[in-house]
Amino acid sequence: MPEPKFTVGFGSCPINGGMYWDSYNTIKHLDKYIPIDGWIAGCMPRPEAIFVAVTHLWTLIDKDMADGYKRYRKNYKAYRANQEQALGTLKWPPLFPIEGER
Amino acid sequence: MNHSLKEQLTSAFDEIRVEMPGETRIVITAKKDAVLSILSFLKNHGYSHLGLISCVDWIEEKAFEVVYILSAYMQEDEKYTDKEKMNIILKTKISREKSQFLSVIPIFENAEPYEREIHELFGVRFEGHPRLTPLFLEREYEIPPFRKDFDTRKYVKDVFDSIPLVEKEAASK
Repeated sequence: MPEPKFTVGFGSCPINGGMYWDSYNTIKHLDKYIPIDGWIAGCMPRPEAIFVAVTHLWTLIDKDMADGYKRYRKNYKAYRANQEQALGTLKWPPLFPIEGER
Repeated sequence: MNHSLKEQLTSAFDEIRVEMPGETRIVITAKKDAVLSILSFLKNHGYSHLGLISCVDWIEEKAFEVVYILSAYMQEDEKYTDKEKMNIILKTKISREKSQFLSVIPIFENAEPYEREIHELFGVRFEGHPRLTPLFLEREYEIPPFRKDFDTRKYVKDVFDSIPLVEKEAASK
C-alpha cells in the first residue's frame, strides 16, 4: 500500500486486549506491532466516536502529526522483531530494508 | 415414549443413570465402555442429530467428562408429540492422565470437527479419528489451553507482556 497511510485502532481490543486481556489466544497492544495514529476506545465504539476520530485524524494529517508510517519505517527492525515474537516466523519478506534503523 | 425410552435404556445397559431434569431433557450418565453402544441405540431410536460434543475438566476428580448432546428431528413422524422430541445429554468420564477415548465417527460422521476441537483444546486423543491435526490454535501450548491447570495469566505474562513497546524503546535510545 503506497504511503502516506494511517492506522486507527478500533475498539478496546487493540488498545490492551479489552475483555480478552488475559486470553491465551489474543494478541494484545496493537501498537507493539505496528505504529498507530489514533485510537477509538469502546466496546463497541459509539458511531459518534468514529465520526470524531475521523475528523480528528483529518486534523492530524493536515498538521503532519499522523506520522505512523514514518515511525514504522524508522523503527521497522523493532516492530518486525515484535511481530516475529508474537506470530512466529513471518511468511512475508521485510517491507523495508532491515538495517535502516537510524 | 419418554418413560419407555428411560425403561428401555436402563434395561438394555448396565450401570447407567437416566435422569430427566426438565420436560425436554434426558441426562444419561454412563460408563465409557457403553458409550458407543448407547449412541447407536439412540440413533436407531430417532435421535439422529449429534448437536455437539463437549468436554469438562474435573481436575479434582482427575477426570475428563465427555458430553454428547443429541436431539431428534422426528418432524416427519406424526406419531411423536412435541414433548417427545427430547434433547439427550450423554455424559461419560474418562481418565485425565491417560486422556484417551474412542472416536464416535463410525456412528455420527459429523463428530469429526468436534473431536478435533476437543483434542486440540483438552488434549484428549480419540482413537480411530482419521486426522487429529491442529484445528484453529495459532501456536503450540505446553498444556492444552482449556485444561484447568493451564495458567492463562502466567501465559499472557510470559508471551505477550514480555514483548516490549517499540516507541518507548526508541525514545530512550
